[in-house]
Amino acid sequence: MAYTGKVLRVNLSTGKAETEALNDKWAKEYLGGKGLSIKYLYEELEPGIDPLSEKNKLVLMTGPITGTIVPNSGKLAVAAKSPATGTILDCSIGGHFAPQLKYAGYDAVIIEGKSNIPVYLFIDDDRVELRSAADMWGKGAHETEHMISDRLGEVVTMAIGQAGENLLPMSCISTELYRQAGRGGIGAVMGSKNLKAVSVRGSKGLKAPDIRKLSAALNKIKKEDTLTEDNMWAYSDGTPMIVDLSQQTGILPTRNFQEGTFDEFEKVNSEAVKAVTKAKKACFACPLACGKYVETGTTRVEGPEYETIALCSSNCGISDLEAVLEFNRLCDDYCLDTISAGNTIAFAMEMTEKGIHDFGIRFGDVEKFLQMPELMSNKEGVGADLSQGVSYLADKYGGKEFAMQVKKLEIPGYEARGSWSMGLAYGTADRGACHLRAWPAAVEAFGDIDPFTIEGKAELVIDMQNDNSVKFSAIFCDFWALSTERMAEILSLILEREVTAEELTTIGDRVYCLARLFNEREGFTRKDDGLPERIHKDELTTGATKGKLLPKDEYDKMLSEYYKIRGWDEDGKVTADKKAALNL
Amino acid sequence: MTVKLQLKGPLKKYANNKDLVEVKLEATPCTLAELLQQFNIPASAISFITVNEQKKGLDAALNGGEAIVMYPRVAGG
Ligand code: SF4
Repeated sequence: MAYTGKVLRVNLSTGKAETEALNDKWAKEYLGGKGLSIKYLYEELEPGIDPLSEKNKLVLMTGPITGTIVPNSGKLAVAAKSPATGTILDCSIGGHFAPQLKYAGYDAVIIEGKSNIPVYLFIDDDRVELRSAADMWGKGAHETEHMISDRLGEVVTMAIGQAGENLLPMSCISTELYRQAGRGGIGAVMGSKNLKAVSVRGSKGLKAPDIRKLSAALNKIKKEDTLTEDNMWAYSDGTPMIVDLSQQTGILPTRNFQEGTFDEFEKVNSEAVKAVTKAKKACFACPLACGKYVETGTTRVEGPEYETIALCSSNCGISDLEAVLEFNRLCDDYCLDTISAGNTIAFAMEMTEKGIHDFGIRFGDVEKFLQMPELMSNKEGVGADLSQGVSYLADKYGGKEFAMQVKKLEIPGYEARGSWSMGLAYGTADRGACHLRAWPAAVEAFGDIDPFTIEGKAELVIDMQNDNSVKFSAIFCDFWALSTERMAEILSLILEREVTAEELTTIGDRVYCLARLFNEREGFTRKDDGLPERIHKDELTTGATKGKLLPKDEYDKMLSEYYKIRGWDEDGKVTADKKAALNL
Repeated sequence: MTVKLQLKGPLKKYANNKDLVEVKLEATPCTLAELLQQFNIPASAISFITVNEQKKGLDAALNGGEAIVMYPRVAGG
């Protein structure tokens, strides 16, 4: 039930599709999802390759719980070497693609090479075909999904839009119109392979040895641990709920991270979004249904998520909710990562207002803001520069000290000066500035741990990174706040052997260290784990974080402590002892 | 003695889906933990609470006249 034992390998250069056995040993050591896809890429990718060359591979990986009746088990890992950062990159995408892939009989798909014409891959159980996507090239992901459904009937599709075709380092992959594998330019990996979409239909199902026992155990867990007060925010409000928490604690990125509060936050917070919400939507096997369909007089979209609000509303000085929703819809269709897009536009706004370089857009300029997704995705006019992200802009035009990125990935929606552990989480995230590897703001800025001290932060971040590595490998949706013990209990049921919390923590550590080894092999060291100067030098001036920064020496101490606890050396390299201990 | 209590997001259900309620304290001083009990709100459902815009722990004492805001627990990011 946990694994089908089969991997589908598709070579786009030769047009050949073959199945092979899943590597059982690796599956045991890395579970699936994030961990197992990184293991395959670590073993199969030559170091130093161009991520946009045919040598890069795209891995679609399910996990042992995928396709079962475990709650919140509908996610898929999508991994490759990142075109944005040059690091390892794994993204997580919801919807229904992952279970369909499992029902078609595969744990994973590994896509290699490059097609010489635009194609899409159709997986229909054992039938695997590459079909022409000539008439879809140049179209958005939404129209592409509709065109494929018209041709194939009921299938689940992951597609790219123009941003992926044009190889943008902030292009994502989309499924079911509004769910994305969002970060690090994963869409450009598909674009570089001339792969417009992957569609799947599976009819094989999975067989549980004792379905009565399994469903009784899982129903109990659902009652005790999923449909609880701690998780209800996801259903009632979804991530826009976080706007009020970030505003109150002074960590809501505002005007390119110049402030941590936004005067007009009530125009774009959860209450405002709820007023235009028409329906809710869930991924496969999810009782929490955090997705919201919103509709106004002018636009309709599923969203916006907190990250979109933080980066594209407050961070761009845009308080017009309709504009944010329309921007969200456009980004979803073109397949632009809203975090990187919002962050980059905000940088251009600050550069313009400071007179360093005139990008023709200022904070709060709704009209220009709404032109950006198209200009960026098609690399037209000012969009050609902006499409390359904040690090590129800073190298070309200056403003490096307030280019808000780590390892060339734009920083998401939590201000590190008001949540010092978030700073460490960004610095040590395996794919560049990311809040999904660890989200310590939840227990620090939003909890009762002092945000303005380094004490205990290294351990906190490591624990969360290890835990999340397990979550993203199993794969559980991370909106379900479940303990390692609970994950062990569920995995024991699914894997039909005893899995302990300790074993899972070791797997999490192993996954995280392997990701580090991948990056190390690509030349990343301590020097790449730093934060933008603004975080160390510019005091915030409003709200709960007034007068706060994260001093550089404190950050460096925190980073050294982090390396030490991880078993990495002072330069951030995984030590021989650590490798031996984790069987790496 | 009364306080003004604002409940955010899913916490509203503990006050009949009202945004803002005026609460009569049973005795003063009373702690935030006691106020949670009065509304049957489990502590696990809370991220943090502010009293007059300042984040406070559950043992913070209320004497009446304060403005209290409760923020729900969130996960994932
Ligand atoms: S909580 Fe949201 S993202 Fe997670 S599985 Fe459910 S609907 Fe999907």
